[in-house]
Amino acid sequence: MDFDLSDEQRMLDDGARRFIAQRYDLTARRRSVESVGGFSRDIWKTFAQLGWLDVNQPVDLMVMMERLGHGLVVEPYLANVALAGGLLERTGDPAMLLPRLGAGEVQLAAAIAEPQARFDLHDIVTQAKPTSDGWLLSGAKTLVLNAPNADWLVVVARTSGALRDASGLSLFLVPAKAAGVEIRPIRTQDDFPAGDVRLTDVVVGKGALLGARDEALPTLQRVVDGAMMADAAYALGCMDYLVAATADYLKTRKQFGKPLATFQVLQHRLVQMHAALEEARSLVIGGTLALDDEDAAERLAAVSSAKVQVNQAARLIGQEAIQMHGGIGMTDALIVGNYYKRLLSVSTLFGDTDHHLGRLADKIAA
Amino acid sequence: MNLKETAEDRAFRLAVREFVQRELPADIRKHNEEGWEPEKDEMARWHRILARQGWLAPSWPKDYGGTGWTLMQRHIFEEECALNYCPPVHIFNIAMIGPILIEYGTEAQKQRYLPKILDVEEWWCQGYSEPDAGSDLAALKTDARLEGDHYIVNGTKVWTSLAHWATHIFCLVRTKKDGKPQEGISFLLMDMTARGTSIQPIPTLNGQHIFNQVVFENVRVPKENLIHRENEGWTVAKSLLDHERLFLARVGDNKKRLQRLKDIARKELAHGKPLIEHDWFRRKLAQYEVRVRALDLTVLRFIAKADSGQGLDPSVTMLKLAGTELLQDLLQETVDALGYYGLPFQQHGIANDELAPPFGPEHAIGASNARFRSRAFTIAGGGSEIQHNIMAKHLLK
Ligand SMILES: Cc1cc2nc3c(=O)[nH]c(=O)nc-3n(C[C@H](O)[C@H](O)[C@H](O)COP(=O)(O)OP(=O)(O)OC[C@H]3O[C@@H](n4cnc5c(N)ncnc54)[C@H](O)[C@@H]3O)c2cc1C
Repeated sequence: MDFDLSDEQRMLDDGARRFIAQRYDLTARRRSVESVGGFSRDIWKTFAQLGWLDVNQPVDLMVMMERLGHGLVVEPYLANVALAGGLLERTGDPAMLLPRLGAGEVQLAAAIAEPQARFDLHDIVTQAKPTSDGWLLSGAKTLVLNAPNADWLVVVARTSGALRDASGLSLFLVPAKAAGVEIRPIRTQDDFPAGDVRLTDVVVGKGALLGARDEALPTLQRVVDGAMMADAAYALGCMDYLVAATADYLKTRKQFGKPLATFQVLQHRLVQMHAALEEARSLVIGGTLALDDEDAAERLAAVSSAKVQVNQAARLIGQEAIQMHGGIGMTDALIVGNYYKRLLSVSTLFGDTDHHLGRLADKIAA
Repeated sequence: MNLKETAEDRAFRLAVREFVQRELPADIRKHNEEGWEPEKDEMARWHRILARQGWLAPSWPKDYGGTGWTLMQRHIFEEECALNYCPPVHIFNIAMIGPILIEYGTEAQKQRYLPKILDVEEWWCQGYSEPDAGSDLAALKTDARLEGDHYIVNGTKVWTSLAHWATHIFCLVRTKKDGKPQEGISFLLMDMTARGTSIQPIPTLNGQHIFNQVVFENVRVPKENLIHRENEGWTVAKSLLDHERLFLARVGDNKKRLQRLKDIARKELAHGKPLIEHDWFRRKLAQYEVRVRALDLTVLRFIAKADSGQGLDPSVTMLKLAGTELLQDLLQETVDALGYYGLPFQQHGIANDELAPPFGPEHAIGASNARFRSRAFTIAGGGSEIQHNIMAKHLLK
């Protein structure tokens, strides 16, 4: 067994840690959130210069995302690098966008989820109909991360089969400015830019098809598994921050003439938070290393287990951190509440606990 | 034993239901159903409707404009109001300062303040907590020094809910620095417009303006605004809670949120069919039904005992613990039922802001916000840990 990082991974970790410490305090984060599009173009450029937008190996991504989570970075890293970048990576990137993503020149978004689908990747209504020289796309996507900023959308659409069929899905690269693409911008509760995307008779050429026609689901599943583990690593960073911040607060805040840390019931709960975090960390490492496993059942077990534990730990730790901070925990002035909000989003994105318990349960029956 | 409602109670329930369904304005109902806190204007309109009927302050004695209802009737009233999506009444007015004035106020104080509450003219807020006195409330330091006919008040109150609506604040202040901390506290009524009073909003983590910091700098408070006796304010503050603690269980709110969760589960899909058609989801609903029923019947047992004159068991504290945790879980479950529609930031009343339009189906709009707000339920009014301490002390006596 080897749980150690390689030298390069350690360098990535140190670099990201330094960046957060020096450049990404609460004020900088606020500035990013309040910028047009909800992130800082300067910081994005810096990410490009540091080579962080080229990261694609699972463990590298895990290292990077945990650091970003620790700093509660809002720049759209997950949407660009893990999701859209991951899909391009696995489909050969015919438009050569990855080098431009790496250079920080393009913004991408993956338009996957649909209003009726909840977390099922194969529940796709959006249609792509072949025309003489390309495709005609129509449908609706929801909560597409980074959609308002995107130059390009990677869209999952049905090219054959019935709703909820596993086969018959294909991936398309669609310019966000194409006629018939309508993006309704929103912010998520945790400050990320996202949007509802409506496609109405959007015309794209033959070259827009990414990967094999009708056979996108396995690719999609693998990329989503990877993004899910990346976001889980981000959550580890958030939880790590909250456990430490809560421990600090218990040591410094006094009531009844003594530090809160002297009350045994609070000590025990801090211990539970820590234990939940460490179990989540073990499973995220396990899930991340399983991403390249060719055995689909093994991959599913590792990834969904990690996701369940992260979802549950995220809620426990987020809620307990607020509770133990008392009134100030409920404010916007303290960053704790912002971590809690992010953790709640993590616990829904790519499937909530019920969804992943369902996947694991089906596997037991299979 | 008979757990059925009596014929009179049943008739009372139907009368209340008929009234609120007829009188509650549709827009106020809709906001409450979506999960938003009421605006001041909504609360005021609803207060006036209740006041016209004589139902604004059910807990007050009849002579002071109350209803003279039994606890059971009050319980039924609160439950019907909640189930029909009425906004809550302003607890600082109705459940706190009103009863305190009735029990401890002089005749002049009662005459001065009670009618203005029933006329929906004056709004109170509660100035207890301070930066260094939260759970340990007796550590409060806001200083009140008697100078002639006035107290001169200096200090900082924090987490003061709805101070920005208030015309008045009831405050715990320190009038004696030596001896037991509890024995140097006095209870003062203060005018929010008094010179030297300033309010600063403290935005909540979900971007709402609920609480504030209130600073007093040499604020002059007439001596006649002292409630009860100097240095005996702690007794006044403690007396507040007794019967009110029954209602902290929020049975009606819990039933209403469970009902709404079921409604949403009929509309939201999972794996191609409504959530409610999945066995695993119905089991979750069943578990909530068990918890709601347990809370409901436990509250009814406390009420039956109190209404028959046997007093209130000190373990009534358990009701706040159970009721608030259940409500938090139900509100989180409701957000979960929405899938991805639980994630957008949605803000009440600023639909013009392009970043915060109502997003997704109508039933999704206020859910995320209500869930965030609910985290405060186990902190405000004495945190759950403190409630556990109180219970433990009682059990181990
Ligand atoms: C939304 C909201 C509205 C509020 N409105 C008002 C208002 O209108 N007026 C007003 O006066 N106050 C108000 N409060 C303040 C509230 O009463 C206090 O927040 C509460 O008493 C806790 O105090 P604190 O915030 O200082 O936390 P602390 O006392 O610092 O406590 C922090 C944590 O430690 C725990 N803890 C403390 N002591 C012990 C112990 N001995 N054993 C175990 N655990 C312990 C607490 O339970 C809590 O979890 C409001 C609070 C909130 C969140």
